[in-house]
Amino acid sequence: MNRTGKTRYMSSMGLAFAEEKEMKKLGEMAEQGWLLESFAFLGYRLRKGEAQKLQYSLDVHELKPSEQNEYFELFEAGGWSHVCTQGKLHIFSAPPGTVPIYSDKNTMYEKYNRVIGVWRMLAAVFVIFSIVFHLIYRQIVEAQGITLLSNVFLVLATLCFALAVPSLMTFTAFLVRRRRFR
Amino acid sequence: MSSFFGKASIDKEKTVVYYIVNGYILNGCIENGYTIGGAFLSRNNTFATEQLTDSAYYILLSLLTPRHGYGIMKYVEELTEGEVTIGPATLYTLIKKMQEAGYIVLGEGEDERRKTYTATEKGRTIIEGEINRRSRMVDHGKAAWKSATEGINHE
Repeated sequence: MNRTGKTRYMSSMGLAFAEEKEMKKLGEMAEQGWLLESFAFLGYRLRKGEAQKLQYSLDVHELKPSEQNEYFELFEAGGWSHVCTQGKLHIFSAPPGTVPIYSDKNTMYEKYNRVIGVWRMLAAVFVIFSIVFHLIYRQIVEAQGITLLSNVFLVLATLCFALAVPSLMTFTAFLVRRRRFR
Repeated sequence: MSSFFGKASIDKEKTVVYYIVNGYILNGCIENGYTIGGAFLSRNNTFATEQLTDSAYYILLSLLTPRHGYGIMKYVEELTEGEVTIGPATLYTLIKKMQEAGYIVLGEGEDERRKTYTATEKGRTIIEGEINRRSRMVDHGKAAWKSATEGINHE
């Protein structure tokens, strides 16, 4: 964790893997006077403020501009203050004892279902392409030996594989997460 | 380009809703990621008997008269004397789904900033059926309880 005067950076393991843990950590930081300010690259930016007991919750909703007001007002009415947003991820904070943002299993299942599709597709694309590029690479090597072209495909295959692994892990993590609310 | 994709995805959703509305909701749809309906129709029902989850039941009940988001949360809490509370994310998810399924519509609010919702004719039919179904379930429970305890008394 870096400190630069009044702000501080907290790294994130990825919300698929450690959503609850990180929300809890944010609460502990707030108790020490480090309040969540915004998302940052692979983490969060915290700002020094008044120490307070807060709980943090993450929601996933893709909002059209026309829907934003209504969405944030609902949370406000439910006692949750909007902290920050990045894309379709929104973090809210509330004093302990506030009704949780999700009050039933079905809609929690929906929450993870909304993100799972993207990761399923990403993982599938990378896996398929790494296999295809690898097969092309082998074909070229068998036909012509190692050439510039074969190396290009080897690099492409390796790149796709390198991306397929984290996508598969994230997809699996969301799958496990969603399963809890079945 | 982005608007094109936006449109395409909306149409796709509409088509899915259309299917569900017409009684083709299957577990398969939900498993494959088509979840419209999945959140407010009980997931364990394979047939098109449109059963509502508890949350959807209470939200639809509160929309028998026009209410805005905060009004729904407050009403459900009052109605159930605090036994049921609905979280904002759950409420938002279900409002959107029920709107897409045509159970509720956005009302012509006096206040532009505060959107109000009301149950449609379709929504009213659904909720009426649901009240009756749940009422029958209570009767079944009571009858079974009664016969079981009477059985004990006879012995």
